[in-house]
Amino acid sequence: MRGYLTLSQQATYHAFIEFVSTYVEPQANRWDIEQRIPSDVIRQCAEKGYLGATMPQEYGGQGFDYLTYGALTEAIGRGSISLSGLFNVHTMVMESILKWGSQEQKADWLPLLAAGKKIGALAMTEPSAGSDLMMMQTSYHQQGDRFILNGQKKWITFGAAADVFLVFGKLAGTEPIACLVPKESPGLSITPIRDMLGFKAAHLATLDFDQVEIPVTHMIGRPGFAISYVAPYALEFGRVSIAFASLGLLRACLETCGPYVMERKTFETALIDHGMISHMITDMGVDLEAATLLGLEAVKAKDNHSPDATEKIMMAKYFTSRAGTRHATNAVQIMGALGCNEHHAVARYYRDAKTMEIVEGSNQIHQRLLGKEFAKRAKRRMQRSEVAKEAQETR
Amino acid sequence: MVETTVELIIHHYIAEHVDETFDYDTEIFEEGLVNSLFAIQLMTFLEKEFGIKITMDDLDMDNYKSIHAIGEFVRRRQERDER
Ligand SMILES: Cc1cc2nc3c(=O)[nH]c(=O)nc-3n(C[C@H](O)[C@H](O)[C@H](O)COP(=O)(O)OP(=O)(O)OC[C@H]3O[C@@H](n4cnc5c(N)ncnc54)[C@H](O)[C@@H]3O)c2cc1C
Repeated sequence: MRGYLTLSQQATYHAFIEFVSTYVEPQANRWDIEQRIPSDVIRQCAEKGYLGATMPQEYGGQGFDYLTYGALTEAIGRGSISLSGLFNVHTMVMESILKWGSQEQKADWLPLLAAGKKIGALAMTEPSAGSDLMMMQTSYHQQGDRFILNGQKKWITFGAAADVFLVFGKLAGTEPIACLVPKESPGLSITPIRDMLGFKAAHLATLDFDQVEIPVTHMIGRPGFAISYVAPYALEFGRVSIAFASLGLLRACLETCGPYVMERKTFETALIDHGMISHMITDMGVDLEAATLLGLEAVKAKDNHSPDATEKIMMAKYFTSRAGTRHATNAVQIMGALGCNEHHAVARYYRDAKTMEIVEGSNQIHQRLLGKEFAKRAKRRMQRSEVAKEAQETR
Repeated sequence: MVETTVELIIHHYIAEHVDETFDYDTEIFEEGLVNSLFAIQLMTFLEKEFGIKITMDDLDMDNYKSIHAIGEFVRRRQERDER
């Protein structure tokens, strides 16, 4: 990654890595075992200004471009995928407000969120609505200048630590809408979820809404647009976070296994000199490079405000999260029994990697969208070149 | 309905993403010509190509339903930004 950055980007990236190697990496296994990231760490991220990474300076953010945000999440993902989840959901909430919020909503929320004085989380999934969000049952009903909210949201990253939720539901049973719901709202109960496979320390929670009243001014965007515009716009930032955090995980696998295979001997030979192990390390290194390039292409497209960014970001998320699972599995294999113990980071990489294939649009949903798009595009290209050929022949 | 460069540019962009034939009045979303992510891609395209910024005030399906509707929306938006 470093080799692709300008000198000033390298200096910023170096600062991220320093932060992670001091405050994140040494504690990450313990956080997983205790199943929580301490609030001190969230405060440290806030003090560094990292929680407002992509927000404009007028709202107290850092105004980072997406490449720099990618570098930040890569560094955080190298240390702790659970902590990267905070950046992911918090950024999705802020970006949603920045894009679809009113001037008042931006002025009210963005300075607090960018400074990390308030933490945001995104609540879409329900027990019976995951990939298919149209199945959502969470309901909003308008009564004068208030909405009455009922329903349940599940698997909400940092749900047990957040101060405000962007909650998706349907207005009067039909129109998808999304509103900001403060955690202290009467009728909202938050139940932490324990014993996840990955994201163990990411404060997942179930949110139950029982006649929760919120002002209609808390709606983000307009009724009818929450699933077609607000959610996909937010998820694009989520996918950038997942792609780059998975890249950090891939680097972690290589940086853990590389030194080990050079030192560890079996049958009087260093592991790296066994062809099968060398094969695994080769694939790890090549996929790390390929994933880096896909990720960088994606954020460059996003920085250029290119419409291609949507697809490039999906490709980066898809490729990198799949590569993460493959190589974290191999990392456990390479480390042998050591990799099977939860006090060793490799066991954590293995558990977290799988989770990255499920969040922000599962990889099957990516296959559904990307596969069809690639096939259709190829067909169109072939048809066009045939038409051009025929035209040439008849001339 | 006048056919202007704006409509031509939009037609060209949408034609790169759909197989079916369509005209300037075809309801591209309603008729399922594009996938669920296309709304965001189209929005980004319009913002970049025509130098406009789409905000919550522009969330109205009538603005995006057909090439004619999008063309009119873009012109309205450009005029508003110039003011
Ligand atoms: C660690 C973690 C953190 C999360 N954090 C959040 C959060 O912060 N906010 C939030 O709202 N949600 C969150 N989620 C939920 C996540 O977004 C959903 O798990 C995800 O969208 C998939 O939904 P599901 O689990 O209901 O699976 P389902 O949608 O029931 O899918 C089950 C399986 O079927 C596959 N599948 C579904 N449809 C198709 C299809 N058409 N073709 C082929 N295969 C298909 C899926 O890929 C999956 O493998 C989190 C989940 C996890 C694991």
